[in-house]
Amino acid sequence: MQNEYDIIIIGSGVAGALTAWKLAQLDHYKILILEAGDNGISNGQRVQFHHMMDTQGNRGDPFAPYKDLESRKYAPAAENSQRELADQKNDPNNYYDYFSEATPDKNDAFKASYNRMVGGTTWSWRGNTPRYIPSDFHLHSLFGVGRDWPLDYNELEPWYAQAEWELGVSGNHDELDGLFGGYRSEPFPMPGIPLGYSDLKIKAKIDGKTVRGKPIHVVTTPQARNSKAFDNRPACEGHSNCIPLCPIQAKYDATVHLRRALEHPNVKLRSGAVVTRLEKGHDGCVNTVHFIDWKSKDKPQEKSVRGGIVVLAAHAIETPKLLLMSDNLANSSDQVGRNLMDHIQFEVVATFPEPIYPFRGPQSITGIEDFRDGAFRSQRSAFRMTIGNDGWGRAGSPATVIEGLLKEGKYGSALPGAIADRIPKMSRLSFSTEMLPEQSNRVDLSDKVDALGIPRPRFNFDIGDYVRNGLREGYAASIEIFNLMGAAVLDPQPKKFELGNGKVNWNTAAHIMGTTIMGDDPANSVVDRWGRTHDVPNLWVAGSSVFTTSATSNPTLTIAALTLRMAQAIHREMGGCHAKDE
Amino acid sequence: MDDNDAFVELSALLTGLYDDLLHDPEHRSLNRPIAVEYARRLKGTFPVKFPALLEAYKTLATATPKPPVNDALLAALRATQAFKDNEIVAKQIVNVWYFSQFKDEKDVLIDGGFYERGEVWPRIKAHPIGFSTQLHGYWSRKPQSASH
Repeated sequence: MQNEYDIIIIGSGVAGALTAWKLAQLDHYKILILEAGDNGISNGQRVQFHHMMDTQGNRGDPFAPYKDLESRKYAPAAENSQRELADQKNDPNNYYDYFSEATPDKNDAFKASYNRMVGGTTWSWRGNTPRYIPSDFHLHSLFGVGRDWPLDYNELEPWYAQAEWELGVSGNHDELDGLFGGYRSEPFPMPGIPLGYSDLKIKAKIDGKTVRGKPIHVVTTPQARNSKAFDNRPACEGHSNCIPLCPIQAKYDATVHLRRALEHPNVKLRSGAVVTRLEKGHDGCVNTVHFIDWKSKDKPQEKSVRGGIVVLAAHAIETPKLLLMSDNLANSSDQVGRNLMDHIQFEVVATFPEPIYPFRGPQSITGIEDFRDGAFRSQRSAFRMTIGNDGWGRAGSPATVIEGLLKEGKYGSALPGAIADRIPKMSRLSFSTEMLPEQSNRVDLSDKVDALGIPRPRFNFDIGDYVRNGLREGYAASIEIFNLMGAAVLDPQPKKFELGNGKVNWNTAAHIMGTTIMGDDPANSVVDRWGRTHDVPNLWVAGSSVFTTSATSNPTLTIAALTLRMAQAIHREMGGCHAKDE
Repeated sequence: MDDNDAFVELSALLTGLYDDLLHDPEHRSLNRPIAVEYARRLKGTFPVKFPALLEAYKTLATATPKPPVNDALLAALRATQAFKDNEIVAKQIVNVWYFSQFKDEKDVLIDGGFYERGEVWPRIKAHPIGFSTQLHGYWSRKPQSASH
């Protein structure tokens, strides 16, 4: 039977969009993008989402602008995933399920979530784009923990440079060139975002000072946020709303490359299509993609489409789910769904000694990179630290401050002055730790189903002592840094840190990784160094599910670099099985 | 005493926004329709407690001679049992004026309808989150004095 498409891409987030665009550039491939969500990618859609920000309640919610989408019913996501395990388990409507008999030491909730939308989670990402450092690729060789990637920094470096151009990354080359041995072959396409008033005040107090025995440096975080007009998108206007939505698209999102890909007449996007199964032919290749078209007139209808190559780009929960739903496809290693990772994060908040006027400009502009590497990684996780420009971040909004003032009885004429005094001094440090790939941290299929009858994801998860000890170090470093600033650390913190049972409090950075892990050995990995599954020659996986280690970098730039590299490899391999029907 | 007048005075008392809600004629006029809407939404959310708090205020405010709307009247109000019983509504009146949103008794956020007019923003010298009207890089500078 003739293939209808040369390439079928499942998912339209940054990995799917870049795959489609790059392959469309390379040849006249017939490409179909299947996307479970259903929303526009025009400026009008963005305005509509922005309007939602003006009419709904919780502006700190990453899903807030997207609440009206009908796709929330048919392509659900865990919209309250930051709750603790007991709260999640007690909610029958929770999208996430958990092993009923969890391993005794697997007692953590999986708190990260994602958007199932055209454009994916990039609608509501922060936009930070640091690179991995060289040691991140050799965690096992250098520190005896975790795994090694099948590739190294040098191999990925040119793709990082391309990815920075594609996403439009602003940054200061001199601050980051050579970071822990990571050279940069090219400058950033744009200079770094100007520091905020708060960053300048904080930097003046801590830059070059010694914290936990090492000198620290406040540097501008590389970010896919325009510091000047770039790629037909404007410079950032500082709406302080990067999460959940940049209202002017100064921050990159995947709609950039979707629009570009769809300019090619051979590229089609089909939204409202929830893929349910990949079917293999006798030759061992995937040839049919089954999906439910929930936009059909009467009721959701099952449909299918044939393609020569299939690229799974449905993020690190839906991608392994789909393989498991497809008769355990590409899982001879039993690694599909395992090695689930996130960046485990905590925020320490304080009152700066003078007004620093947060909530003006991007939510975070600067960070401290000095804690990302060292011999300690044999014992505990490294972390990246970011300096917030958003008050107390997720730990507390301005409303939290007013709530506190009212508890103090500050009604009446005392209130406006107290607000003007306290809120402009709100300051935040957050640290995100690396997680190790662990077999037992996994997602698989629940027997509970969603509105379309598709299994929900089921989790077994624990952050582990390696992370907990990294978090403790991050907490201690944050306290030292705030002390250097002369800032009064909030006591108690909005979330207590040490829980007293050997565990610590934490939150998610929502950086989901590792469920179709990359490696050279088919016996213990799912995809090869290019992103092709070991078991199925025409099935590729794009996105952070292929990450071998989580490192400390926000994942999107590495997703983009690996995807561009993968697309080139697919193009080279198009002569393989089922490829390009002529 | 008209309920809307009472709500505006009660709001000024609780929030400390005496100028914006009572004394400055221009701001008072601009805020009047907003007050009507806020009162409607609060009453819908707290059908018993909102009228109870408002009634407690009206009892004090309609004394003869009429007491000035200031912190002394606030102290008298806070001393009443009705205030203690319905303080949740007092807090939500503060929230709705500063953020144009408030919480119901289950902590669910409810939109007030005038997000960009939230009184918190000028006081902290920031724009409403998500709605800057300034140009790239403004955030590097110390903010100018707010218009209020």
